[in-house]
Amino acid sequence: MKNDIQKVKVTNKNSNIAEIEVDRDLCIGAGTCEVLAPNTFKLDKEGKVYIDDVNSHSDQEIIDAAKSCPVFAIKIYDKNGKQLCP
Amino acid sequence: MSIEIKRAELVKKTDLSDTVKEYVFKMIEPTQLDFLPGQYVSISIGDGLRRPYSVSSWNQKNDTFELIIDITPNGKAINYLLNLELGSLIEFIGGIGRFTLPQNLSKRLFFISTGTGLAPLKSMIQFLTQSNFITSNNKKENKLELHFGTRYKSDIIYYDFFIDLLHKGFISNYQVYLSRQKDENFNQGYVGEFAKKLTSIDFNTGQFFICGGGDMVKSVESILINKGVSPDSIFYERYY
Repeated sequence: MKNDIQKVKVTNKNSNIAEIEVDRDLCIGAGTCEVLAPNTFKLDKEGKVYIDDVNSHSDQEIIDAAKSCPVFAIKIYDKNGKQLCP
Repeated sequence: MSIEIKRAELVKKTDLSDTVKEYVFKMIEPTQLDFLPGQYVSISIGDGLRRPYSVSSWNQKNDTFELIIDITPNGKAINYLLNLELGSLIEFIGGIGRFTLPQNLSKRLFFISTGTGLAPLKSMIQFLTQSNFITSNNKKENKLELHFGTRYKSDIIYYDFFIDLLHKGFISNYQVYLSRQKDENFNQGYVGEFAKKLTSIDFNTGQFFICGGGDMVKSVESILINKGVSPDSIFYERYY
């Protein structure tokens, strides 16, 4: 069975981040990401993360939020396709 | 966007078992931890990383707080915490988390955990005992049960603490389940066995708080749903 994965492209030209990906099957709903970048990462009714607005936080805030995930459910890629985290 | 970074000092370390430790922190900045029973703190462990640990205590002032640390997984967070010496400062954010007691609390509360999943439940139970959830006047109507599962007798944590609450009448039932060891003083099997002794009133009106590994949480949730428990009455937090 394929994992429930959401990928969103970042269109903000000032951002070095190209894409954000969340693996909703891995997500345990801890929610630290939602505290650190609340416009980008939100928890749904089931307590699973989903990506919302990717343009209203700084790159650092988004990376900090991704790095706070205890189960590595958030991946960040830069414009060269390099995985910035985890 | 600014997030409040808090600081606390490690003031006590205690071995709860061969693989589990209790750390007590004194709040430094601010001097009181603002959190709800069941919530966690997210600790900075270096390299921009942070990891969540449920607060396992509750007291009126919350000028100190406790964490339960399982040292078995060999990772950055455990190494960071094991290297902390008394007097060390940690930086964290929190309390964070949705795994909290609901506003419309039932009169029958069932807490189910394995391993260090006991941490947030212990905080909730301490809050409830300090709020006189069970008194001599209401002990026939109100129930507060704790069911704790682990593999071996040597893995049991806070046994004396909860036996004391039981003897004082603050909780109405405390059961331990050992999955890999027979011992006449404890139940043998998985923690989901607890459901066998519940009544239809318990299933219909109770609220269930589950914390531990994902498989256990899923299994207990499934047992409860099959018994007719409303999903709205099941609260859980998965540790992995």
